[in-house]
Amino acid sequence: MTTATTFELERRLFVFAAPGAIAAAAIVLLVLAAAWAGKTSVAETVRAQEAFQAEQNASLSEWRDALETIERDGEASSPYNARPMNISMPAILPPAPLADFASGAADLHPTTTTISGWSNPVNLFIEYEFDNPTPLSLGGLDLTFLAVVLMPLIMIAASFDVLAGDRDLGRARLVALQAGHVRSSVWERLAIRNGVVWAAFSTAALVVAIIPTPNADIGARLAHFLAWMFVALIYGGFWFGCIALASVVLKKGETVAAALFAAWAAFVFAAPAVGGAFAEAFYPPPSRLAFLSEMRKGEVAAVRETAELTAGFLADHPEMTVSDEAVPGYYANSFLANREAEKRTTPVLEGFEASREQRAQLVSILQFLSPAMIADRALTSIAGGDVARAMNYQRQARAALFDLRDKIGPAVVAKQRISLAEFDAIERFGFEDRTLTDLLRSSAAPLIYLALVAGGLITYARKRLAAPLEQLL
Amino acid sequence: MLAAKQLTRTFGDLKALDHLDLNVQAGEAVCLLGANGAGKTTTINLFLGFLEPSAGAAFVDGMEVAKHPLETKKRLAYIPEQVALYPQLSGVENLDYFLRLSGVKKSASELSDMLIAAGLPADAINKRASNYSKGMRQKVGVAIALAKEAGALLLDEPLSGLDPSAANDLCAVLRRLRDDGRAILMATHDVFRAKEIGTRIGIMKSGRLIDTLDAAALDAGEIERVYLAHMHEAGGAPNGVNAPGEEDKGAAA
Amino acid sequence: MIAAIAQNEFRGFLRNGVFISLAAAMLALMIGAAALSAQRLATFERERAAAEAVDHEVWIGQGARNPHSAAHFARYAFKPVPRLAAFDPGVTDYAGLALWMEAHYQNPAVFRRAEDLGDAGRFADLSPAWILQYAAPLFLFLVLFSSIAGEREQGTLRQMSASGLSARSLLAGKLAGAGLGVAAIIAPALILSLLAAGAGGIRTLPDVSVRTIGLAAAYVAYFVAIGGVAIGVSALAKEKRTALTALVAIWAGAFVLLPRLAASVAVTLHPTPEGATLSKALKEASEAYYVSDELKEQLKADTLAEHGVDKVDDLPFNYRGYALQWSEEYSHPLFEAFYDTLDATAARQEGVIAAASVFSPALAIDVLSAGLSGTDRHHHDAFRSAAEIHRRQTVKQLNDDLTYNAKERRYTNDETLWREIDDFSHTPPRFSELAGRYVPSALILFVYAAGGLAFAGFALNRAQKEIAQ
Repeated sequence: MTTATTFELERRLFVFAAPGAIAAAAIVLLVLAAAWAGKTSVAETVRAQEAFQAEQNASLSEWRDALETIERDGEASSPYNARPMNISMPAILPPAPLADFASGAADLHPTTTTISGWSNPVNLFIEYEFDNPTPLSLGGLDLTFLAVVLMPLIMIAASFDVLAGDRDLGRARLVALQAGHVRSSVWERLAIRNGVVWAAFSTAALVVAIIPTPNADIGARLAHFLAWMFVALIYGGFWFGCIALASVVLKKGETVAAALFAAWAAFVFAAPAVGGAFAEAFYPPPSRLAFLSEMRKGEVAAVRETAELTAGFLADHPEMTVSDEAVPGYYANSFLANREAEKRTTPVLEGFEASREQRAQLVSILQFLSPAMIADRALTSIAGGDVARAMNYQRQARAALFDLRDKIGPAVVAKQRISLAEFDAIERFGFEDRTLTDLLRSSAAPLIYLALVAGGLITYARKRLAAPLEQLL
Repeated sequence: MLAAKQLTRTFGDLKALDHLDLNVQAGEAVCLLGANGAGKTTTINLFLGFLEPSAGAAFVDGMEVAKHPLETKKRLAYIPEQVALYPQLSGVENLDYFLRLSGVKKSASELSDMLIAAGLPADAINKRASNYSKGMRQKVGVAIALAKEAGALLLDEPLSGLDPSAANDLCAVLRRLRDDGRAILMATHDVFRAKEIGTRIGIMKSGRLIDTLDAAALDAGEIERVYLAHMHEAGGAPNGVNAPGEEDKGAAA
Repeated sequence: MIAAIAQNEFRGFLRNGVFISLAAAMLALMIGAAALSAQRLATFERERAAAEAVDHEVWIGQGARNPHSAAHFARYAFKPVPRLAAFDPGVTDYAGLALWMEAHYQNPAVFRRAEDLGDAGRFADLSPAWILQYAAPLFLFLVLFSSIAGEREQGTLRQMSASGLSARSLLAGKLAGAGLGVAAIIAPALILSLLAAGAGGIRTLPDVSVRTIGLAAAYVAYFVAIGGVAIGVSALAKEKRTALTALVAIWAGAFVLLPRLAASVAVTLHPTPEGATLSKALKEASEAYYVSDELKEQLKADTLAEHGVDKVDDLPFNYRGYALQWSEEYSHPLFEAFYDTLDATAARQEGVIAAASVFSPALAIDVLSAGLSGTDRHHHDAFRSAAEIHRRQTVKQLNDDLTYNAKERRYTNDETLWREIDDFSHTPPRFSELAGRYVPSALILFVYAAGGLAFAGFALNRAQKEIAQ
């Protein structure tokens, strides 16, 4: 018996027959629907970010021009002109190269802000929560969802009865007699069916990857795609092993199907839901409302104690002398209030970070219970939709805020301006993304585990298929 | 061609086949008669290598089945009670696939001729097997068996459920094969067909071959009387208690 | 006869290892979900109560201050979460829970809990409602796929038909048996989750009993629809495996894929503009008066003319306070237009989702269940509207104080005024006020229940006829 014989059978039963065509068409259509949604969303984000950046840059240039004029002329036409408190720099989280492959948590977190003396860590990210919560709560359709949730289901539906169907009807005995065994036939048929399913998915996904998104470098995009596809295939390998093993170990078609569907529901839905709930129960996030309360207490204290705070701040900056220019007091007051709020909220913010870290660690352990969680986390992080990327951006933006505050603070409190050189020395915000290597390294342990489990299942299934026919028929 | 030496198979405490000694020479047809659970299907499964013996051995063309599972299968053809085909494929496509599995490649016209020779109507050979009657599926099974040109043919109640005409056709084919020098081992409940096809008739009860009759020496009525007499003898498992793997053919029929 | 079938069905469940293990898993999930939901809700309530207390304390204790400066400092409205959220959290995690009622600005609600949940995946929520809406149908399908196909395979359907049993009686018996089996698992868990939801002093809805009865009715209709589909497919399928595959395909398509596909299509066809774009638009609405010198001049001229004076100092009130309040009121329709546009987009998005619910009862029950539990967007919007009304009142009170009491530029007021400002308090709307919004979903669910029964009756009739032939 040759592989060609099996392929000839599968060509007629599956590949060029209704089941295979329906499966492939459904996959391609869903991939295209997911890609359409993903690409539209990325394009809209990029467009809005570009408009935001252009507007921010224009006002920053205007601010610089005003300072340049003051330095040149030696006097300002208005005391409000070119005040350091009014430096406002854009900080943008651009979509990742493969952002259209996974929305992940990207639809929840902010991607733009302005770094300025008016901001504090609490109000640095505001006014982004406009999205309708109804579709948010339902979740979106993206390629990662299709790979993690739908592909196993299609694999199961396509191949659960390759052996059981033959066995239930007695064909397996005829196959065994004619071929001498059933292992090649079963193995090749499983491989062909699942191969067709994954070929349809990979091809459609490759087409989606080749079509560029507005901001992405095609080279980076394809590199990320290859990594993404590699992870998806490891995950597919896991399900291939599950299907092969269930087909060999369980006798009846409906038992094979029920066991595989139950495993799918457990891995894809139950384990992540229970894992997430446990992580939240064990390491609950500190109250955001408490965070807010601390910030407000800080603001009130700062307003009350402006004189003391000013004196205290200037004591740390003896080089500064308070200008007698008629600048509104609230520049300095607001700056000091923000600084005070920052001081008071830092422990809460650290608490947030710590609890997030603890939850992330627990989830990263719990993911080993569910290959779907491993795959989802790895695929989402390669596509740049993970929480870590959003947090990384927020941390970098906060760091940029602190950096700006350190550079303009003394001048703001002393009601002075900074020099043009000092302004030019302020570093503009540019998000530093993780490299693909970093991403793969951080997912390496669970992926190796997943590959080992997949390999183990496949090896064991092959071993069981080589068992005496008595155990298979 | 087919030989069993002290061939034994147990399932837990149940002895499905108990020290069977049997020889089926080329040109000979042995029909095994017995109640459900007597060990007929177990015997066939042991020759096919679908079950492993607990003791003793089955031989095909001098080779021990357990030691040469692939070689012995090449020398065997098999027609089960229900020939299961791929319903999405036509008769000719099914035949082509099953022959290819055993390494036999035939042209489309050869395959069609084989099916027609096995008795399948010419207008049915390119129709999907999902539309076939049981008799038509059996004929595809016969075609598969014939095309393999195996020295020995194992049949597990192949006549069960066939209409008289289809059963007659199959009997004629089997007689021809026997006369052509094939060794035939057939499990059946049908005393009269057993007499028609068999050169010898073995009567099995509770896993043991308790009698062997010369089919030519007795008429069908006499064979039936002997068979019933054996069935009413004390001892052995009650009828209807099947060994695992031994299907309840009565219920299925 | 119906009772005999139902009893036999139920007995079959109790002796079926698959049913027992699935039922145990469901029960454990429901109990776990109910306990965790109740615990979460109690935490939310503690946090809200604490934040409200701090907000009050900080407001009162802010010291002497210009009233407009206080209006900028402002107060927060914290969204109360109704007790039924422990049963169905709806959009609770995806809608903001605090709203800053600041002068000149109608802010969106901020702090969405979903942002803090991390990377466990968003495929499932461990809430009683999620389990009933999504996991329970799978449970029903896995339990019922063989209800008729199995009888057909083992030949007992032929025997039952031969005894003169009508398709209607068979359907009633099978449904009753399935109902008993499902109720034995779900009813205790449901009662437990509602009891757990009631614990912990969580705020209740004004018409909680009406809502609870509505929830019970909606879920009964939902399960009748699903039971009908399961039995119908089982009757149509020639083999058990075909029935199982078809039902799981229906579940995957209608309960897993379609809700997400609908949500994706909804936001792609009717996108909510990006945060930066909206933030800019909101800022423009807020600053509309202040960036227009013409408007400022016009107001000044009109006011002076109205009072027959030449300069603002001669007005019988503080013009600065007056202009502040005027600018506030000038922004109101702009804010309304802003949020109306946003709401219209949301309504269009939900229209797509509602249209998709024609193909998925899960979407219809999702809408109804969250609406009845008081946790959907409409209830969230009611909170937003209430907060806006409160914001306008508060800002007006503070601006009026400035307008009518401020004699000098550095005018301040103190705790006396701050205490006159009411604390924000919100009672969610009665369900009857919003009921019109849920009629399409209720109708779809009703049609599903009736259609499910009709489909099952048709399929059983057909199965019996096939057997007779």
